[in-house]
Amino acid sequence: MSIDVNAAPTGFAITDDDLLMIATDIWAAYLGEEQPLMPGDPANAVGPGWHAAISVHGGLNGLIVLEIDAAGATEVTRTMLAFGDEDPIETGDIIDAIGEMVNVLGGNIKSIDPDPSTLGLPLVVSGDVCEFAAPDATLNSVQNLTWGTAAIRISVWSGAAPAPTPSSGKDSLS
Amino acid sequence: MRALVIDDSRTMRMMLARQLTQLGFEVLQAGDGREALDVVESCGDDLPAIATIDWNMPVMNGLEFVQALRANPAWRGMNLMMVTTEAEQSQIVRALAAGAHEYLIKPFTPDAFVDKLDLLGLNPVRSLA
Repeated sequence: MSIDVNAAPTGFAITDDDLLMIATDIWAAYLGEEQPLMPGDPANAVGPGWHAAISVHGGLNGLIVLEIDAAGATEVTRTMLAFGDEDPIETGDIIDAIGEMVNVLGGNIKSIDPDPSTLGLPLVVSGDVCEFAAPDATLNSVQNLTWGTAAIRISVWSGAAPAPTPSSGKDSLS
Repeated sequence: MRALVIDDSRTMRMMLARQLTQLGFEVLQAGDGREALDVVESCGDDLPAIATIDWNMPVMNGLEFVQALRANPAWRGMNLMMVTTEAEQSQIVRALAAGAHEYLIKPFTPDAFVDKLDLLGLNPVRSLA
């Protein structure tokens, strides 16, 4: 599955409004309410950064993808870990923090589906392009967001439940 | 008073450990259920008063940990709180039936976590007030 930013949302397992509500709740709980997650411009690509995915199997079969630019991922990690500005952020810290964010996104997204489903373990990669192996997946819902200056994109892909295997990227967890 | 934080995410372990430490707990950590059983075993009679338990973890998941812990009568005094993204009613019922005392769904605020500790009578700050 290559993420196509021009793809039209199809399917109604989750609405874009549901996705926005879930994402803003998670950001507020873990990162505070001083700087809320805001709707962003779909024309603004996330760009090079971190891409995380988690698979869902059962009532909702598919993949939930979180994309965030490099500076934003570092800031999310710093805030979650309560690190100071001078504290070094390691790559492993970012992988773990972004993986936890997509894990929580996945759990909350699957919980609104009436049929029970199972969550996989998160996969996190860095690189220029978000590309996970998920043949025949269909874009179900998407939100382009900003958090401070960070560009964030969250998408829900339904279809054949894919194994979260990266087809690109240099770092991974799972 | 000891607390055991079980989560495969180091970030989540640090978030919970930070809050528990501020409340006065000595915090132990484990990255999966199997490792957590080893930690509990190593505690001898000085068992953690509470374990916070993620559900989805490699090696041994949280539900399996609860079942394994409850199978040992010597460990029945531990309070068990699931802290997980699993929000479906059927999953909550399964965890409580297996022996968990409380269930906290991610994401949660620090206040929500303290409220759950209060329900278990495990807020050292409040106990001293």
